[in-house]
Amino acid sequence: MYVTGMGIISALGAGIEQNRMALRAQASGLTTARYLQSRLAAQLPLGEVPFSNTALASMAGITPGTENRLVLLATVALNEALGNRFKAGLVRTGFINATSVGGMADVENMYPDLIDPAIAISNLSAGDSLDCAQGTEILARHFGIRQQVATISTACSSSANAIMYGARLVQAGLLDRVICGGVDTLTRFTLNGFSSLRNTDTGLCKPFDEHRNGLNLGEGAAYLVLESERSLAVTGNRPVGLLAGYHNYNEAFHPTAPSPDGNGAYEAMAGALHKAGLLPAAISYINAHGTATINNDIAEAKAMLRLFGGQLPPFSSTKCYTGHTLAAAGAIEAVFSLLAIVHEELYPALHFDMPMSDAAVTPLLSLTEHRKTDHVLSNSFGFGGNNACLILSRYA
Amino acid sequence: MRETMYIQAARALSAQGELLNDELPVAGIEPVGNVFYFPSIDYSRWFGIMQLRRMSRLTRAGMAVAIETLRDAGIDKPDAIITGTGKGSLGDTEKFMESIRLHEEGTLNPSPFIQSTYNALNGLIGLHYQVDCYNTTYVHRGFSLEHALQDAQLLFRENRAAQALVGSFEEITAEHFGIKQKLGYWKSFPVRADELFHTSTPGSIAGEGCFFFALGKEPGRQPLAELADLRMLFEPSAAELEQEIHAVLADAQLRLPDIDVLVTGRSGDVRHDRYYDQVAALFNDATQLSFKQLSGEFDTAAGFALRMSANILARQQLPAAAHYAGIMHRPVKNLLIYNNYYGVQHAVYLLRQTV
Amino acid sequence: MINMAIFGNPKQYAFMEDFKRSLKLQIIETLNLQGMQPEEIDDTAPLFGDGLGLDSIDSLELIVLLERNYGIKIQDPREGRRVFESINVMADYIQAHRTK
Repeated sequence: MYVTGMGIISALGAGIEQNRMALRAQASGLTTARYLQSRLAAQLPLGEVPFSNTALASMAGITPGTENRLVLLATVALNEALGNRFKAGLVRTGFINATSVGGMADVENMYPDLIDPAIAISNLSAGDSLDCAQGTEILARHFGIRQQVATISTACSSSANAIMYGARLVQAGLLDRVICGGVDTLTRFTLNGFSSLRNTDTGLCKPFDEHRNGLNLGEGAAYLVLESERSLAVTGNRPVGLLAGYHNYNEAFHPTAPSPDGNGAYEAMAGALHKAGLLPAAISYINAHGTATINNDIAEAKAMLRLFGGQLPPFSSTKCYTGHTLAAAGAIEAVFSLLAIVHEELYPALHFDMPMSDAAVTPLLSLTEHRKTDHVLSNSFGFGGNNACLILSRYA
Repeated sequence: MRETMYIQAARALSAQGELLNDELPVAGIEPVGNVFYFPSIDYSRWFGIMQLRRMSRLTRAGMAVAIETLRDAGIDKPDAIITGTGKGSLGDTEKFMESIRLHEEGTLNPSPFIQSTYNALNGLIGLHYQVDCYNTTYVHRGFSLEHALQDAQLLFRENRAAQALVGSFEEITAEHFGIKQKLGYWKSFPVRADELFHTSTPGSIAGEGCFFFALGKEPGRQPLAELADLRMLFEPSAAELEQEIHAVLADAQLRLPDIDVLVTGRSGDVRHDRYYDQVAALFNDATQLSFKQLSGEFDTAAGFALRMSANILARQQLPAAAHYAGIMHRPVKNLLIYNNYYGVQHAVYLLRQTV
Repeated sequence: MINMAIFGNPKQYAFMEDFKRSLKLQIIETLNLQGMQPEEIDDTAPLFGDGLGLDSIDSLELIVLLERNYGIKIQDPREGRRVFESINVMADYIQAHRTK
């Protein structure tokens, strides 16, 4: 499956260039949030996108005050992915989006008024934006996409699943081209949710470190444009990479924790390799899920060790740069994987001091350049044991 | 989607309370304050206290329906678990939002947060069957169930599954009803079921329910019906809608008169009647059924229609409670469902009697 | 920890028995164990793993219960597992540390 476009916005900035520069400079985007209204924002480092809604609107080419942060983030990323020559109707084009809490950021601010029978709703669109579909449809209309419009919500694996579903729709001949990815904003809801699970670190997260203490949440959006061979002939787009493999494997272990031996992670990765027709040795780099929670990292490390037979390729979690962007994570990290391939460089981990005693793996610690990178494996593991793995490859 | 799947089993829980009797819909159940709530069920038949602790109202309903569906189909472990929901477990979402407010972001109970995630039910079904398999959840209003069905069809085509558990789950809460009231979703005055289509006013009445289907690539022992085609349309024009229906029939090598029964998702909302009138006009000789006077309107109400329709084909019975217009055709060989959710997400299903 | 109530004051003993019963009711409510009776929870049986069968999420819920009802803050969730070993251990801990 050809990747012909990508777009991104995260705590590292807007667009591929800003994100890549930050990764190369090992400059984390985790900081004290400025825009999120939350008591916890003062206590927890967050990967907030460093732009106000007004600034985002301006970047997105949208009148300020007319769309919520979710739509604004997604629009900025989509504008980049689609470019200014995009015509939805040129070929059968679909839009598979992902989000974990939809328009919650706005709804939670207006909620007391929303549920007060005595107060009328002034903004009907905002009032109806709690669910996952509202944002997706606003975006679909904005870009003129009319076929196969969908939203997936499987927690942290959402946008990886969206990319998979999109690819499969093209493969099955139901679409020629699909725009797929995901978006999530910081909300009190998710921040308090993860905090109540004692999964958040009050310091900067330390993926795969012995002293890791939880995740830092983030927000952002990223989208890939996937096209079939037939579509390329019509659009004339040039591939920037390939989606070579993918797999979804749900592990029945526990509502929120992975099995300690990492079996779910293992199967997801093995399945993706199988789909791509690749052996583990072909993998140049792994963009790990690496949330820095006690449970995820040990399970993921064990799975990687088992799959690669101790010959681990370079790997790192980029969540120490962006925070855990929930539904957007799969897509954001797919973009980072493609950047690694296109620019022949591997991005290092941050905040790593000591390997875990139960699975001593050491992530890449410095930027590696001029490194031919053919195949990158990217993991996204969610609540409920939903494990997704994507393999991005070089387009010769 | 143009490749057949077989509906091997179909179970549900809606205001009809059909989880316990698996009957076709009956008349006589009235909405309460313009809401069709599903009844309280004693879930101890399926779950122990320890299991139930993690399952709020909607989740326990969804789980019980899923279990009955797989039992009917004789499936021990599903190859895939794919669901759709428009709003998920609203009760848990509301509870967690309230606790954030009440405790001012202090120490909070985590369970409502976990249970509010859209794919929580999927995870619990997997745990219940101790099955590691393909698993995903679509959350897109009137396309949620349809994408779940389409995904299963893709899996069959890819040879990654031979059967799949596909379903939808939806609940309405007093709080959310109130929000939707303000947004103009409901009638502004109380209506009875038999009045729903006779007021020519905007808005509908609310409903909720869980609908699960055991789908198979092959017919299996005794399938209920064949799901021959499923199309989704996003805000189609009248011409596009009509064109798509013609395409569905052409692909199945059927002509308009071959459709014995047309099931429409008329909701009583005058703003969207025109779509249903337009489609009905194509099928003058078919029996016309409607279902939202029995189920109410909600994102995944099409599940009610799908279960009802599969059973109509299997039992060759037409529920009088669903009758809208036309004589009651028998036999029923080909059935079309046309539904839309507030005029935005439209879906067309073609079901056929299995030989 | 030796239960001095056995050898000591009957009033103290009665108090602890009442307290443990009330604690069981609170646990049943907080963990949503609808239909379970306090009598079904043994004082010495393990609450986690093989006993009652509670898991890590329940542990977090019980930490919230301790803070809300008794003003006890448990910082490390792993400490929670030790405190919640059984009803007896939990009851003793609460009595020793409660600020409410």
